[in-house]
Amino acid sequence: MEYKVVVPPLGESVVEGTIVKWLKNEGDTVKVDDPLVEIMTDKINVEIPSPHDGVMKKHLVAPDTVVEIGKEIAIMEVEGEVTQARTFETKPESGEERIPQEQEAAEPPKEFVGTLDHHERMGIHANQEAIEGGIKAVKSSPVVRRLAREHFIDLRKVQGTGGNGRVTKEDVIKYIDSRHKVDLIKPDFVFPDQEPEEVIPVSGVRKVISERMVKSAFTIPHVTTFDECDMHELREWRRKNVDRIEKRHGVRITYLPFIAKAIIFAARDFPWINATHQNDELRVKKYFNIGMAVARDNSLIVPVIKHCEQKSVLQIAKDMRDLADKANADTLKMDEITGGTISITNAGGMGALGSTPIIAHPQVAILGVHKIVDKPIVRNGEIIIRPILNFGLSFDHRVIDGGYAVQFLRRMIEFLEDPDSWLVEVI
Amino acid sequence: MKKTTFIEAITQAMAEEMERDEHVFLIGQDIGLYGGVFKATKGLLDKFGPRRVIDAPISEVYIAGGSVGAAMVGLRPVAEIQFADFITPSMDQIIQQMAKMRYRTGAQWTSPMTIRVCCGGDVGGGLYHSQINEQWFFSQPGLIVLLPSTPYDAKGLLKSAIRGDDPVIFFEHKRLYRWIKEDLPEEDFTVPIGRAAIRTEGKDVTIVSYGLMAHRSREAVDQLEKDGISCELIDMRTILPWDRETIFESVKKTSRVVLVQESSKTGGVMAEVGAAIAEELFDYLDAPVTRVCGLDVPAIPFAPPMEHYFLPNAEKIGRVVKKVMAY
Repeated sequence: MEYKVVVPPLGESVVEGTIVKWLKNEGDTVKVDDPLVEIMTDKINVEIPSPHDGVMKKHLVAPDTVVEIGKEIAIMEVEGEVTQARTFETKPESGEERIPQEQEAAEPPKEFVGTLDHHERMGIHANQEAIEGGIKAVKSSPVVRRLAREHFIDLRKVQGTGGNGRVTKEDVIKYIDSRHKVDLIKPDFVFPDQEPEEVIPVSGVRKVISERMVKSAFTIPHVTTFDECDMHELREWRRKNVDRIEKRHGVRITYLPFIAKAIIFAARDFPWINATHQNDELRVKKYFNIGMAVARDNSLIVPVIKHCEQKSVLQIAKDMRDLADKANADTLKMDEITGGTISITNAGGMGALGSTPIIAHPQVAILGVHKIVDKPIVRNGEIIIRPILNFGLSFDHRVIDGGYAVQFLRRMIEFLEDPDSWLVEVI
Repeated sequence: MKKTTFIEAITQAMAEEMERDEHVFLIGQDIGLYGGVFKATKGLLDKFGPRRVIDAPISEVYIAGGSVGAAMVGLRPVAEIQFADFITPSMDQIIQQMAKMRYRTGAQWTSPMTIRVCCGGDVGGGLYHSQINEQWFFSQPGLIVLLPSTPYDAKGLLKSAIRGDDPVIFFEHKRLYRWIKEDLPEEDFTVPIGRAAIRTEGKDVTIVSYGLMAHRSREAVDQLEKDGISCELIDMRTILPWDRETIFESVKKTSRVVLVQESSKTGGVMAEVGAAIAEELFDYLDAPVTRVCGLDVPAIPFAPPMEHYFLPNAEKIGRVVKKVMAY
């Protein structure tokens, strides 16, 4: 009988997703629990498993289509009678979700490894075995074979445009030209396919990031204010305790959990900074779900640490570590990346001294954390060396006035500069 | 300036060389009083007199043999064979005497002479007024064989032939006599023997031809260019010794070659050119060496549709070039 595949419930508050790609082609035999299709929801990609054994008969929607939960997306042929639209749980924590972008493209071909010649090593020249292998494998004329040997070309890499797909002299010359350009511009760089450009479709996660950035940047009038924080006291405290804490609690504490706490303390006096703004409403939150931007190989995700106001610094540190691990393993659940009320992004980890971060819409503020640098500063008429962290706070200027944001940031810095005043309460 | 026809260029070359060198004389059937069957020698009897413009009996063997003898003793004969179809009676003198004279006498004797041979089809001439037969002479070392396609080359090459010390078969394609015209320089000039001319430069395919077929190839090249195929057209001009250097360089560049000849395919000039390319340039070829030739039948037919069926033309050449390009 025909069985209609529908988009299953994909998680809390998720109403739709985007088809990334079909994992079973029309005509493929399908076993129960085989992944049928990859669907992107918010920032998580989910593979929908097959509920039955059978054959994929027809795809009803193409990749890049947005589909609502419950929509029919494919028809399978299954044996016997089965109940239509059987509901089933998706398993986002199974670790099988994959980002659809062509990360494999960055992998250099195997023959680049272990050859001696410079050009071979750089992937520009094929080795002898590959050249002769290409000549045997590919339909080619005498001149093409000569050129392949003279220019160290594996003909299997050249797109043939001649009769019956024959590689023509022109094809080889084009290939040499494109390769030569690479050689001239950047001799030390491996471009695996020797094409002058690599086209990476802005799709999947990258497309979501792109759309969100555009929405935020062109909806919210951003202003970024900078202020410097003397991290001396906190650094000294951390130096004394970091190893001990790690031994006892199993987490190597960074500055970010302290900064999260300082945000919460400072927001007591400036509550609007922890809010969402949309539909002409500013919803000031009485709880702190702090988004922590995590950079991944070629994307970005912002897991959210829920209810930081109820958590100790240590607990925040542990949650941060766990969420970062999940982000890197691609196993974040939907509710772990939604519901943020304010965000932190740490460009300092990679060395940045300043940045103007883009707010995670509909939040109204994001704190940019930068590298701590020993700097000469003047205090009481003397030049002293202090570890300085330059914060950048971007805020939604529609609802947050400049003075309000500047004062919030200063208050937050005051907490960080004097950790003894509050740390004992929340460690 | 009045444009010069192919046949006027021939006449000018002979007249100028006769004025330049008193050893130069003409001999042939009907070339004196009648001025030649195609009027190539018109007016020359009056100008140079009967001792230098000699009406020969209807005997090709005498025209050739007498010229060889005259050449051996220091004259510069320019003989005319009315039609290439009738050259066979003179073959013994040409092949056995004229061509081998320098070789067999250790250069003690030479045969510095030119035999002008009117040739070629596409004139409705039928079996015995349409042949070229250049392949017979092409296969005989010791001869120089010329087959120009323009008035400039005809005049320049004929002068080079008359001035040279080796025997020359100088083919004149009768279809070109009054069809092809061009401005010629006022001053004396020659065209070097043994050098082909690149008529159009191109990058995709080399077309090699000569004579009337150089013009047919040119028509094909113009059409092919509109279809996006860039042809390099080489006019051999001298078919023996042929210009290997120019042809080979072009084929190395384009890697594709189409050879066009009016005469029958088997054993023709292009059989040799093609074989040499295959032999020497194998590693440069991207497609089979391909010929467009006259058909392998005993002679060019008389009926116009059949004559056109026999002869290569722009359409046939274009079709073959496209096939080679698509290989």
